[in-house]
Amino acid sequence: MKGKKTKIIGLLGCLLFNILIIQAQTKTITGIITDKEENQPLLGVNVLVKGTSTGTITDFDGNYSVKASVGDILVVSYIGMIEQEVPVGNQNIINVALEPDMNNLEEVIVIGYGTYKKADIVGAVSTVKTEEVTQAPVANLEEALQGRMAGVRITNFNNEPGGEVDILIRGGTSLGGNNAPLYVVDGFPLGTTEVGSTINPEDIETIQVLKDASSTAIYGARGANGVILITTKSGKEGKASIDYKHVSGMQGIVSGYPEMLNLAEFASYQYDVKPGAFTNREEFIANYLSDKEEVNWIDRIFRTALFRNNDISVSGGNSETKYRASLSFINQGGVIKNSNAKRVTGRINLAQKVGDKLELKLNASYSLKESEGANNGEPDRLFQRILETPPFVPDNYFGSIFDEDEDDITFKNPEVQLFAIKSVRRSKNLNVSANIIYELAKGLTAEVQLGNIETDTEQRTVSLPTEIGGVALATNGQVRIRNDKKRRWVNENLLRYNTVFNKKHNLTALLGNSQQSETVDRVTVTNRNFPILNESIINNIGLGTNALSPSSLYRKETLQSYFGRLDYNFKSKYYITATYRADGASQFAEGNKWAYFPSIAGSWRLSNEPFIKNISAISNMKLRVSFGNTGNLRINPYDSFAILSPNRFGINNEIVSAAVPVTLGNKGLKWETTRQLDIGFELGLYKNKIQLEADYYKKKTTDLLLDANISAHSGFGRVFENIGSIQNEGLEFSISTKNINNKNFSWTTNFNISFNRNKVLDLARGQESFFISRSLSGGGTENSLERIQAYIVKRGFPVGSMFGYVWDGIYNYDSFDRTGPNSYTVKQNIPVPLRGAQPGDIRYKDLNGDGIISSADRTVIGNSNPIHFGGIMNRFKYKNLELSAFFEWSYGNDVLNAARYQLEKLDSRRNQYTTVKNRFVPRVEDENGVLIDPGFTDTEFFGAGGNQDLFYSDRVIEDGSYLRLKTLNLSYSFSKELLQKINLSSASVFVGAQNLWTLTNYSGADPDANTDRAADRGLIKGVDRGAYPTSTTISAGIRIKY
Amino acid sequence: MKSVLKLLILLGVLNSCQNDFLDEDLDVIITPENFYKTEKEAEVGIFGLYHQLSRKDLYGWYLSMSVDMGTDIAFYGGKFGDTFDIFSNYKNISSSIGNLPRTWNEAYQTIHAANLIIENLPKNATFSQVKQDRFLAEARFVRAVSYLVLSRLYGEVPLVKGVLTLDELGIPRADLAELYQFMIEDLNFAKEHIPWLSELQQGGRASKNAVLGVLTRVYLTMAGAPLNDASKWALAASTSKELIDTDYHDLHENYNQVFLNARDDVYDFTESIWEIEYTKGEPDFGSRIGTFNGIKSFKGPNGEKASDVGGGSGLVRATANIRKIYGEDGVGYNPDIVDSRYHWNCPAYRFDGTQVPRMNPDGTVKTSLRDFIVSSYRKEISNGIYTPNQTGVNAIALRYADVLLMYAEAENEVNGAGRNALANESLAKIRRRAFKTYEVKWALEGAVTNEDDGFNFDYSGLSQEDFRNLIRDERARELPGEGLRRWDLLRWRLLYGNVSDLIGEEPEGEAWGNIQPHNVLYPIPQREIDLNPLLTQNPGY
Repeated sequence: MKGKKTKIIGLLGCLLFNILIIQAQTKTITGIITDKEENQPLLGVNVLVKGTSTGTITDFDGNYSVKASVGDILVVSYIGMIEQEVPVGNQNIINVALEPDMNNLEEVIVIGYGTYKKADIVGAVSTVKTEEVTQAPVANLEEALQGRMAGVRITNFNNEPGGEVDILIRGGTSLGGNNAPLYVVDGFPLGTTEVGSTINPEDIETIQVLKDASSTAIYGARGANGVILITTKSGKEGKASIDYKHVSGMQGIVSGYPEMLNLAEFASYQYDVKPGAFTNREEFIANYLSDKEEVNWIDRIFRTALFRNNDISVSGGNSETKYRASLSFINQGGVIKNSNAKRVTGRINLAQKVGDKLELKLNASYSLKESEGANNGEPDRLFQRILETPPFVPDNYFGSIFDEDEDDITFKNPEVQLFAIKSVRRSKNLNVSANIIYELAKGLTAEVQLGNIETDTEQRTVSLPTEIGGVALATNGQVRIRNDKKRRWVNENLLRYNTVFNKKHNLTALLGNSQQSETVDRVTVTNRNFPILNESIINNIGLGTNALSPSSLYRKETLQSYFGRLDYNFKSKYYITATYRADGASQFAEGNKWAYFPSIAGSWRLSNEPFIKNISAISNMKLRVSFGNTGNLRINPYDSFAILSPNRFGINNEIVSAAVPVTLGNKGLKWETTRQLDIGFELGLYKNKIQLEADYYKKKTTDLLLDANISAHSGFGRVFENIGSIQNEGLEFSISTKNINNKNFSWTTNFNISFNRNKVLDLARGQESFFISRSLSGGGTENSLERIQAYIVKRGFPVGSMFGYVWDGIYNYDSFDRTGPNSYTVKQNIPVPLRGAQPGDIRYKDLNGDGIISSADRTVIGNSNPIHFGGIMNRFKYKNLELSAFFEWSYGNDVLNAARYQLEKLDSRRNQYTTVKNRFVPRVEDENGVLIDPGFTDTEFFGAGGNQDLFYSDRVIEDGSYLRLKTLNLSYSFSKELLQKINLSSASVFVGAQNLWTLTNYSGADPDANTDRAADRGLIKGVDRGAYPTSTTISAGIRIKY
Repeated sequence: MKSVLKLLILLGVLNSCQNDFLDEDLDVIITPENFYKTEKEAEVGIFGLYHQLSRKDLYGWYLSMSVDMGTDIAFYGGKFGDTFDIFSNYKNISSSIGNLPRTWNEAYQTIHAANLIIENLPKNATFSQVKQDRFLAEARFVRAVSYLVLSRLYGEVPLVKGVLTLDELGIPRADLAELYQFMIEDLNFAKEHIPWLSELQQGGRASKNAVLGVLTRVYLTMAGAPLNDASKWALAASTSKELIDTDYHDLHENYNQVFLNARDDVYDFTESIWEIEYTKGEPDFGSRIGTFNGIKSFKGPNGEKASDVGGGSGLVRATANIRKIYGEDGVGYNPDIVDSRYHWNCPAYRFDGTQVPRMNPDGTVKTSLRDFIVSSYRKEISNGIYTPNQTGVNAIALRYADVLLMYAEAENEVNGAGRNALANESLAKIRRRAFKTYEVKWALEGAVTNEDDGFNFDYSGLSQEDFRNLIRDERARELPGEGLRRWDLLRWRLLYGNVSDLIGEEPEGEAWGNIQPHNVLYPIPQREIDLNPLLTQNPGY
């Protein structure tokens, strides 16, 4: 009781004293804040009286006016400038010249569950400034990140507008499909597709990529593939500002794809495949051409598409409330006719301080994405399908071509197909999260975060009877509606503590727990046999009279975690960080649910040692080492169980339910674990005008989760298993330099390069290797032979090794003895396949020397991993004009040009690349052996019409190295004087281009394509089944800030 | 400090999740561990087994259609170089061909599905033992059928007797004798616990009648190559006789009606003992029977594209050899042949809305090999809604005519020329129907008008050897296109000989030019050998 009274009296006393002081000595201080280097007044600089909520911002001329008292300290801060503190003395005018923050070491870096100054970061973290990224209009964030960060490799599945990308951080750790990193947006974990479709790049403040174990182990079981942290923009103290950006542009496919045979050339090729009754090529061609009209399918299908992006945001706040709200509209036409995509995103970020100790944050975002267009069901090889269609208008509207003597060979008329299947996809996403942060005691804060994300995706597809080979004609139209509802809630509870004792020892501690639950609900309904056959049935599914059985799916997964981190540094010289996380996941069977992920790291800031401090050239020098474990839990719920799936069956013409086993189940499934060592070195020279960061890492992943091959006599060919181990080892360098920095002209360069080596160390059950089969045609009719063992996973070799025959030209006449008119037998000692060889047949190397070309002669023929990859960004600034050029490359990776395998196959009615004009054409003799046609034999290109090319070989493995001018931007900022008159704080106009130029020897449409999307795609990389060629985008826009 | 405490309590509350937070919710899945509890559930599981058998690489395609190609009666009439071509001409058969293992995979998948029931049903079931045994018997029947497929196609294969754990997968190939013994045990159990067809009245499920037929097949196979266990002839004779003695079965009056019934989902248990059922218009369990092997069709009755209304591709083509077996000269279509099955099975027309002869460009009617089609399941255009390629035509898995012929064959081997009258009559019955008068020919030719008079159908005087040869030819005439010829040739040790004899004789000799002696067995899939080093490869691959 007594203590309480004293406290109150003391408090009152203080208050009174304060009021007296304030009343006595408050005065108005004015001044101008300028940029020291450019000697220009700065607009919007924060001037704050330290320890109070009193403050202001500067106007157009850099003027400010603030009330302060003698003894106060003014804090002057501005983004990109070094913050300055000026004590208030007797003067009434305080002018401050801010220095640009050249050494961005004071920059705040977000890492898992915390923020640190860059200088204090112990782990390997890459940062991307979004202003660089958002200069070019991008709908997809990840695509914009391509080449920006060392150690982060991004490849396109397809250059389809808005297509997905594949991100690998420091090589794949998992053999299973999913090597995607974990995304955390404002502390809330998001899935890859959620990030791609819901985050508006304009809303992003920073992107940090956590790469080493020290920084990722705090994410435990989800950290093995790296973590991408995205922080969205929040409001800043100061008056409200409105930011508006508009970009318009156009997109068209680059003519980088190989040329196809024209109709006359195609006819000549058809003569070689199947001459029919003709014995004379010219007659055949003339007859073939007589009833056909030539067509160029590419021109008929593709167009130059327009797009518009509009972004508007408003932000502001005071010392207690900060807010930012934004809205964005994207409207993008597809380069394929009859397709387009729209996206609306909105976001509100609010932060409210309640008293001194409590802070509330609320982030909410909503997105609506709607795309519609032809869904050909095979987006991976849509382009190839178009190319391979014979270059003439088909016999009938649908595109079928009949052949009475053979099977019907049916090509879909690609143009008709565009309208035969129409698919509308709507995806809604609502993400709300709230944080309560409370200061419990000095240095000790508690934070509770609750978040919820809901994604509803609806896909309505209507197939009209014009779809050839599909279901619709016989069924009189089909409508399928699929609804996916995904919901995830996350709760995280954190305690943070930091303290400094003896002014030398800095200690930060974090303790937390988290739980999350995710459910997926899916319903599909299909109806057929419609009385009306137009697109309207998409909304009238009930009109159909032949409903298929509906299907539903529900699954749930939960994750529970406990974690902690301890950071200690001595005099900002010696740093040590330890983290620990325990994760429990529902996907694993009893006994295997929990896994533990520790890490430890240390760093030494040499530049804070006296012996380095004296070297004036060195402004920063740091050495860091980390070691730790992370995991991967990406298996599906219930993978440890054998599952029976409902099916139907007819007994006595009555449809009955049937339960069919669909998975084997594996109760022994456990976590995949990655152990990683990282050694990093950072160096800043000449006031950080040159900054270098180098990292060496070595990762070993054990208990790999893989949908692994098992003996089929188990009942299934595959099961999810923990098999073997792989290793990734690599080097990363990034260098940024400020080459020239004058008042009127500046030039900066950012450069990064990464090397990763990947190796399979061990496989399950002592296996030496296993194959990954793929249908190279992609269509993969189950009866085709084209399901080829194209890739191998082999101990000691990298993942993504191609496997096959070694091409050795063709069997030309010199390999044969002539045994009669048009009759040849292969000479002794020339290796041939068991079935023999004819002149013009493709030839492979007999590697084992047994005289027979057989499957034993296959070997590793390619490696889809690059030797190195990276990017280089150059920015030039001349007065108000700024030019930036960003190049991105990959070197030494092989690509399996599966499209070429198909389009240089010479065995069918498919149209082919013009390269086949060089094909072998055999000599023809009459029955007396007199040469009547010399053919064309002086070539290495095999002849037409055979099944000689059943195998694939290194003939279609190509070097996929490329250097691409990814973005080129030119912008002009209007001068402040001019803008002042119209009350704007800044305005700029810009023009930009993407994918303007590519240097490559690759013969296909795009070297940077991996069209394989199967679940085990992690094992087969660099497959190009005829991807869309890269789209070139040209755009122009304006940005205005009020 | 109090507030710290408060916060910790708050954290505790938020975190006081149930202990089962990380448990998987088993109520949302069906797993063998929580299934087969009730009779209904058990039945749903059993229907799953029949669904497995109906899949493409078992009866859905391979066993009902493809397996006849590459014998002396049929070949593949489609594009060269694809998988069916390999079945047909033995070109490029190697252990690493992607497609060949699929029957292996599906047979083992079916065995696994059966094992799941055999192991879990007794643990979970809450109904009577008698009913349990009946379901177990069906599972064991399906398992035996699957092993019969595997052992005939690949020879010795791993014998999986129960659900294997991942650690138990390394097992070697079992002896053929052991495999067949296992099948016989399964079938004997099935025979004991499955009701007669007369009681069951379901042709799509195993009946005791079906079990006896399959058991006869197993015994015949054991009696022939490669086991050559002559003691099994008598067993085959006895099991088939048991079926004949039920007097439940008879031949349908008209040969072709059997297949039209299968096409139209008409159940006729008198002749068709066991069918693998398909339902039209259902992508999951429709079939390609009659489409893949049916009459080549170009247009539907209303001018539709044939394949869109369930028309046939006519890809299983008749060899000149089978026409020779029917008694023609091997050159062309012969309207004078009196065996009505010839006109049904080897028609020489295509369907173009109506039946039309296939024409050469010069206007003459085509008579080349490619225009004859083994199409016992003749189905030009079916009525009703069909998804392309998904018809409702059932696969006849066991037919009474086959039982009669099996009996006659076994009896002849046991007693030689002294075989009993029932054996002679069994053959006679089949031949009598074949030469009966009814209209089977295509419309352009008019009906066959034979009288029974020219034949006496008395085989009692035939020697054992002559009777054996007659049976062998009769099986080709009676059962082509039903997926039996390859297995017959194998057990008679005639596959290599008969097929290599075709070389040069057939106008398109290339299609047979590649069979090697070792091709009588398929290679063990290379993938399986890679995964299980205990497996050995069949000789020659």
